[in-house]
Amino acid sequence: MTKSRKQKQKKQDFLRKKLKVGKPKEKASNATDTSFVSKTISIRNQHLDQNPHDLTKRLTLLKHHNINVRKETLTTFQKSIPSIINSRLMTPLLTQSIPLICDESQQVRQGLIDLIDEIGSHDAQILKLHCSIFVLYISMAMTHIVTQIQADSTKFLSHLMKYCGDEVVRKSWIKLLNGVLGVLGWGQVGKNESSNIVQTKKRNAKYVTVHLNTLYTLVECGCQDERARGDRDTSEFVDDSTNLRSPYLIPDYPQPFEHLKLFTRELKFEDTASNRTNAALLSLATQDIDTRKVAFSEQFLPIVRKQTETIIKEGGECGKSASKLKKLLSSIFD
Amino acid sequence: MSEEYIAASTLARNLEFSKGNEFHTILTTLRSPVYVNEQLLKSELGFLVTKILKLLRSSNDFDLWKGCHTSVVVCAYNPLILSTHGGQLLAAVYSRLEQKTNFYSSVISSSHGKQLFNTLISSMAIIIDLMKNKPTLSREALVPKLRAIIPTLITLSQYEPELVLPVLQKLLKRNTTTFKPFVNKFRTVLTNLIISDYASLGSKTQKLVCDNFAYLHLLKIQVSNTNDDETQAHHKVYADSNWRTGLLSILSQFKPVVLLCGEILDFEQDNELYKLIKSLPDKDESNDKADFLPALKLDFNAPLTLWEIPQRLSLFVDMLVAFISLPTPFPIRVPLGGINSLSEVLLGINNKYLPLKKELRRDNELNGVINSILPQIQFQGIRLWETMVSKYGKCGLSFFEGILSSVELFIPLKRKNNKEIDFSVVGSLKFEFFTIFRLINMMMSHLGHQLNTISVISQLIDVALFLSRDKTMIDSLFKNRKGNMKQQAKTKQSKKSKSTEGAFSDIYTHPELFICRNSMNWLNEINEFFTTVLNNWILPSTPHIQILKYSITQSLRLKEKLGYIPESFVDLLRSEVLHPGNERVSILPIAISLLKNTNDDMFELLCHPKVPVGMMYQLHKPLDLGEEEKVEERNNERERETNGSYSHASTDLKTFKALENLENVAIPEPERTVPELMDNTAVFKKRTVEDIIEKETASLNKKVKVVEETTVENGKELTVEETIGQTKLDAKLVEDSDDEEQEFEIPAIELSDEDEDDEKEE
Repeated sequence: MTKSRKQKQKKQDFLRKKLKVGKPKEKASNATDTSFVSKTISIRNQHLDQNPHDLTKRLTLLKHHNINVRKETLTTFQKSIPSIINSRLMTPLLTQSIPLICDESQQVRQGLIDLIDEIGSHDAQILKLHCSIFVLYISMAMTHIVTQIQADSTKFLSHLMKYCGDEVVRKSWIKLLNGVLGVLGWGQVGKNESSNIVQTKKRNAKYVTVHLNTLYTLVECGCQDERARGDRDTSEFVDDSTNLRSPYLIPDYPQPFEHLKLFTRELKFEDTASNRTNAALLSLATQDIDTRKVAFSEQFLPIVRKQTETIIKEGGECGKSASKLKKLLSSIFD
Repeated sequence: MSEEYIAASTLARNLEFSKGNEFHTILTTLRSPVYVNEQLLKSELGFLVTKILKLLRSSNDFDLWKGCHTSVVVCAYNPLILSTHGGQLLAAVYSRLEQKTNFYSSVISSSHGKQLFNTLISSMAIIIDLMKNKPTLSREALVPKLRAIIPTLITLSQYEPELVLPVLQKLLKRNTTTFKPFVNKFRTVLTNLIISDYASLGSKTQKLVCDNFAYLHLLKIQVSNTNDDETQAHHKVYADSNWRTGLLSILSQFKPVVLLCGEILDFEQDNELYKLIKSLPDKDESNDKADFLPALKLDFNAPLTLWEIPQRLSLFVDMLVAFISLPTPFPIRVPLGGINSLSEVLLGINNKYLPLKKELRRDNELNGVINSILPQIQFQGIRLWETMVSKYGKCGLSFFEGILSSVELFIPLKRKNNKEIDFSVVGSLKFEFFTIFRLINMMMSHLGHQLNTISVISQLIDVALFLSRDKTMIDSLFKNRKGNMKQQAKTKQSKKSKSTEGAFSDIYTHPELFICRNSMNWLNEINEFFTTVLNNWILPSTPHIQILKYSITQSLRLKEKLGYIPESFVDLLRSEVLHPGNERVSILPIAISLLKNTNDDMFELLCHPKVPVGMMYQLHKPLDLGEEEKVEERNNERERETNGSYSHASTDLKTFKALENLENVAIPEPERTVPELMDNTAVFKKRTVEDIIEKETASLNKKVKVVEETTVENGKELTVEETIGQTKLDAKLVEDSDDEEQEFEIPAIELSDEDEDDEKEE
């Protein structure tokens, strides 16, 4: 049955259609129907009018193998920030450029810092929104195998803290403290003592100063409330009614309910004997100052105190920063 | 109408052969008030009663069953029959019950035996209930029969305690004197039940047995009372002397058992506890009656015998609970302090701070048993407290702090570092924790802000959050499984393992089906706990966020499952919104989207705040009070200067005095208005929040009230409608401006006030 039908179809292909008078000629089987009407035709792949200033094109250049290209691209973006700050371009720009925290070239990293500063000075909200990616890459840099990248990681952190310190300490207090202490070589988690950073510590006093200063800002942001800090822009008049009212108004920062983790799947920490306490701390929500203070004083304070003492004794630039940190610690915890 | 009813005689005739639906219809018809008619009494109703009696006396069990039900219906709905033939019916039912009791074993062996007993006893109980408190009826018909009924019931209570004990309990409480001759018999029955079958009874029946046992102590006092009154009138006799001796004898039973625990734990390490145990009431040697229980047989070589300790304690607690919780006809004296210290001792028996006796430490099995019985012993103390707090509430207020710190002893901690809660043990003590949360909830409603010891609370929050997660049964299986798999891979016995693992497939493919879900009761209790905690304290952010997450996810899940969010979750969401704690943003938007179509008053108000209208007047009053007179004078002058239209009006001082409140508001003083601006908004905001808490909508009542006030204050006939118009306008203005910037608010108010003044002045 099937065979015969197939055969019939085959035959039909080879039959010659007879032309008849008064009837139109049949169309060829491969004729294209051109009877449709369209007002516009968009041809995707052929943008004739290419915008020479289209910055989206340049995003890929951030991954270019040439150091100079990457650096140049960063500078271009930095220059055009004022015009694109409110555009949709910011998210892809940040997600593409943040990985450069771990870039091997010092120039590129510096360029990124400048870019972050530029963005922050225009609209800190954008940095707040991408805070978690920042923290991710910064903590990646903090444990990076290349010493220079590791050393620069705190620079990024300190620049980030300038614009969204509150967000950062709320979101990843323990993680960052672990990281900074690790970079300083005081770490408890990875026992970083044999790593490069410690070996070259004495040679790179400059870096240690940066680390200490970052630790200072981190602790200041995390453990001191705004009034005690009494700093620059937040010293505005805050009365009780504002405190009472503000939770019910529309928040002035992005993703207000993110910390509830309603849609994220949490990792279960297995009770491994070694760093169990730290694992428990990592699952701690550090949204309020008191929790942060307690966590810091229980977990980090003794070692920080001990280490600052030794650095102060060594003196120099580091000694100054360390004594500043010591003062801050005694003002908060004593 | 009166002729259209079915004659009772017809119904009575049909009664004999009716079945099923017909019988139901006859019973419903008999309920009609038409049959409560004295004219019918002799002829029709008499006939009905004889028919019922015939049914009751019939040897057919079904007829007997029908007779019982008919007599109950007739007695309940027809007072005429109850008062004339009630005694007769009761006697008939009772005689059948007695007859059946005598042949208990043969009756119960038939398929419907139990049902028959149930019907006989319940219908007798109902008829007795109907007859009680009716003076003549109970004197003539009921009480004489009780003398016969009670012994039968007591005999039957050995076999059917579940059915009989409620009836006996009522009789004991109501007809104590009639019961007197049978007390000893009943006591032996009850003690037999307690000694031999107590554990095999249901929890309800256990409670009944204990309640009855306690009620036995109602009896003697009447006798002793009268005796005492006659012989030694000066001697003050409490009505509850017998009750109290019963209570104290139970209380004294605890000490020997607690001392037994001293064989397990080293009490001497803790002096406080040792003193407390010493201070427990001793057993009274002279009173042997209470000592009816056999001695415990414990053997460390057979560790399972140790389980008898918590069982025995639980029995004592059951009885003690009956003594302190049952309603009595006279006031009783309850040794709350003694009970409290007893509970404290029971909770003190733990291996958290007390070491095991040295010689016991090696035996693993024994230690396992000890670990499992200690929480049970502690739990008995918690049960006692729960009853105490629920019955005596604030009377125990002074104990509450102590109770809380003792409850902390119940929370199991990990051995190695004494800070972390051992959640694996917590999981196995869910029921016990349920009781704890009930206890805590009851106490917290009395304590609230007063409480300082928050450490227990935060531990309990952790426990509550842990226990309200759904429990998977197979977690441990997977853990062990991995180890097994490795071993099997090593030994290369994969073929063998495959054949056995076939049965496990469900566990691997559908692990979500092996989950213990929480009951609604549990969730309600936990929610109440969380609500009070959130209302009273600002929590650290970790537990706070966990509570938020729990409430949101659970209420969403329940909403999908049930179609609505249960009340306790709504309460929890409310208090979460009202007390954001350390959070920067309240979860108001989330809560509202969860409760979208429920018309919740509070959330409605939070979204669309309304202004209480009377506010503005109240706000300005304190200002007036201070500088009333000066301001008044100044006002006059200023008004003259500024307001041209006023100058022609007669400067009537009285009018001014009357208007002074309003005028003070009205004057647009630049120095004053600016700070007021801030105040107004502040207070305005605060008030709205407070109002929400009280679920107080800004109602029309307030408007009316304000109007009344103003009219009175003015002392002059003001046009009421005008004021209403004003206030409404104010409210509207404020409402409108609320959404926008706040600076617009007050000018609006000021303007309106000014207008008002102008109008009055004109």
